[in-house]
Amino acid sequence: MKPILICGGVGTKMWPESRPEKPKHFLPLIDDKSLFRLNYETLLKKFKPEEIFVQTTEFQKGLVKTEAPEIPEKNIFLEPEVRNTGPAIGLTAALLSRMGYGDEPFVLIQVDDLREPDDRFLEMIEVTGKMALESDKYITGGFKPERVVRGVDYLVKGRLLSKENGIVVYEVADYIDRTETEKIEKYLGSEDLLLHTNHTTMTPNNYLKMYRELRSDWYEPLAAIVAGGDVNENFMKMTKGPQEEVTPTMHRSGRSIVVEIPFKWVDFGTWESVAIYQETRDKKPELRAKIEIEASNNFVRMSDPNKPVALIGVSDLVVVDTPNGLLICKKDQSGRVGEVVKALEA
Amino acid sequence: MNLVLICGGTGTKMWPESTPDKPKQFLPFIDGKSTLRVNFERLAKFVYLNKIWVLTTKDLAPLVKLELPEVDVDHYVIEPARKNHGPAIGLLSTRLAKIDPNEPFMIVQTDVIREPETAFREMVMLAEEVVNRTGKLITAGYRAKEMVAGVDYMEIEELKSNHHVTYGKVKKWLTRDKVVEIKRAVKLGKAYVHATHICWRPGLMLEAIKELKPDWWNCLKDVLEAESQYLKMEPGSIENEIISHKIKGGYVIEMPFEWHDLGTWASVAIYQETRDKKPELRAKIEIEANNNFVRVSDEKKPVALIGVSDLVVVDTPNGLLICKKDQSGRVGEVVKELEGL
Repeated sequence: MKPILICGGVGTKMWPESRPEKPKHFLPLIDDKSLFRLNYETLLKKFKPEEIFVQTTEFQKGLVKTEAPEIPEKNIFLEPEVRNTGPAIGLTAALLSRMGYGDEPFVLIQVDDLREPDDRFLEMIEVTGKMALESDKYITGGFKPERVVRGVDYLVKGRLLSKENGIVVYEVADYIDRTETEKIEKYLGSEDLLLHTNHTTMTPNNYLKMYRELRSDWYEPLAAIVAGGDVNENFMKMTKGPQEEVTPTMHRSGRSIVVEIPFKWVDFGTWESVAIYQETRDKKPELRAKIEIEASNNFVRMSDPNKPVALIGVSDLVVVDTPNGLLICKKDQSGRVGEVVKALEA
Repeated sequence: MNLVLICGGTGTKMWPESTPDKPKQFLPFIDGKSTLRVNFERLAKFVYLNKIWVLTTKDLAPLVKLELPEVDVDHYVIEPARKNHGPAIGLLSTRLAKIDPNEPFMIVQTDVIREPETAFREMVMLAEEVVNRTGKLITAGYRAKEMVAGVDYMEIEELKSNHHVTYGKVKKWLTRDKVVEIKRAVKLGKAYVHATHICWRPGLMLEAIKELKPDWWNCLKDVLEAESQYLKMEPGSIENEIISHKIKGGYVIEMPFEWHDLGTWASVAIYQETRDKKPELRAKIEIEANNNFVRVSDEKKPVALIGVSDLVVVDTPNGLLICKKDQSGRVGEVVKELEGL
């Protein structure tokens, strides 16, 4: 099994801390550690650094090397240009295959999330890794959502395939894109609806075979890379597009498998999500001088730990202060922080 | 008539911009100028420079001198220690009385803005005329529409008018704790809120101190010794010790101007809104946010406000304040808490 840490985006919703030079998964969000580092540390419980791979961009390579200096440089795959997940994951599969790992399963690990307890994640990939050796189906993860969340895709459970060590695996019966709101509502409250969280697990060769059938225009350049062709030149031949230009066909033709993730999937998309996560923990970061008068439930991050902050008569705020900017936002509107970055660019 | 710019206090309510080293009167609230400077410039338009005095403390004097380089050093009365306004005005009276015990003075607070400024000039002229005519203590105030906490009142018995400026004879001083009497006077329309513009003859002020506060008088009687004796003086308020007793039979002038007491961030916000020229930040982004007052000392630093309203936000390297406007009176508590840390 080859675990692949994927990091690409900036996470503009974490302004003012996140910046192009310091995307959100490299921010010291939890106990002064980054999400990238925490995910890497999870993997280190089971893997040696030389067994761990990273899929990223030239721009973030330096940050990856700082956070995970033990990972050999050859294990860091760089997308020559941002072309979305279709070409990017294809490139990873091709490069693994070229290194001789074509029949060894890989698992994609998005680093802007945490998986808790992480031991259960490691147990899960034990199971899914074995399945990927036995089957050429597309394997991914999902969980039963407590409520319907917008902006995510869903999978509908099919036949139960296995239940090993409490890890439950189903065939996928259907795929519901985030835009199909009516269909999502139809399944609302149903036991069969799973929120898709991408944990793509396959062997690189099976992954490429899937492209060969469904996106030959992506497959051809990738096959050339496997054969030793120039990475940049071939990568640029692929048109932009998400992995979801391929996988829905797999889901809808009985050729994919979903594992009900046996851990809590903590997504750090907004400051509110960081605030909620911090509240669930015993160890809360405390500021040297935070004074609250008739103020409650405020989440405050100050890049200068010695700078005093006073909150009077306010509640449910996210306050993030850095030399690059000051954010004051109602928690439930922290999803709109990305608009600030757009406005500032203008 | 001598006009005395009084500059003391710490202005802890203006944290984090005001600090003990730089109280609110020195902060550039008005088109980049401090309220101290604005008050001086307005006075200098109708008063000769040799009639302008400064009453301040030893620690603030260097800052005042930077702001008001035009004022002659001989016109500074410097309190050797902070003792509240009682001893300070006593010391001032001693100094002025030495020059002329009969020439009136008026205390001009510098943490407020009076507009229109021409109306202030009219009030000054009226006060001078009334003191010269009657020898009575004068101060200023405004008619109370309802009782508010934290201020003192005067009950008036007879209103007069002179050149559009109204003034009344004071029947009684009502300290803030005399709730029943204040409410009764408010109901009768005879209650005035005290807004210090003490105006009197320095000689008479000293006589009043001699009568009511002999301990102070003993320290002040010899002008050459007054500064060295100052440290022995018991702190005290001029209102409680002297004005409250001597204003009876004196006069309160109804302030013919808008009195912007820039004592809290909310008041600064309100004042800025009344003006055409509003200071604008380089990058202030508001999303579903309104009526927020934002000051950031680093003008290049962007600020984003999302889903919040009626806030005061003040950001300096010394601290960050986020406060509901209607609670900005509590900012002083922050300073106290920080001192305790």
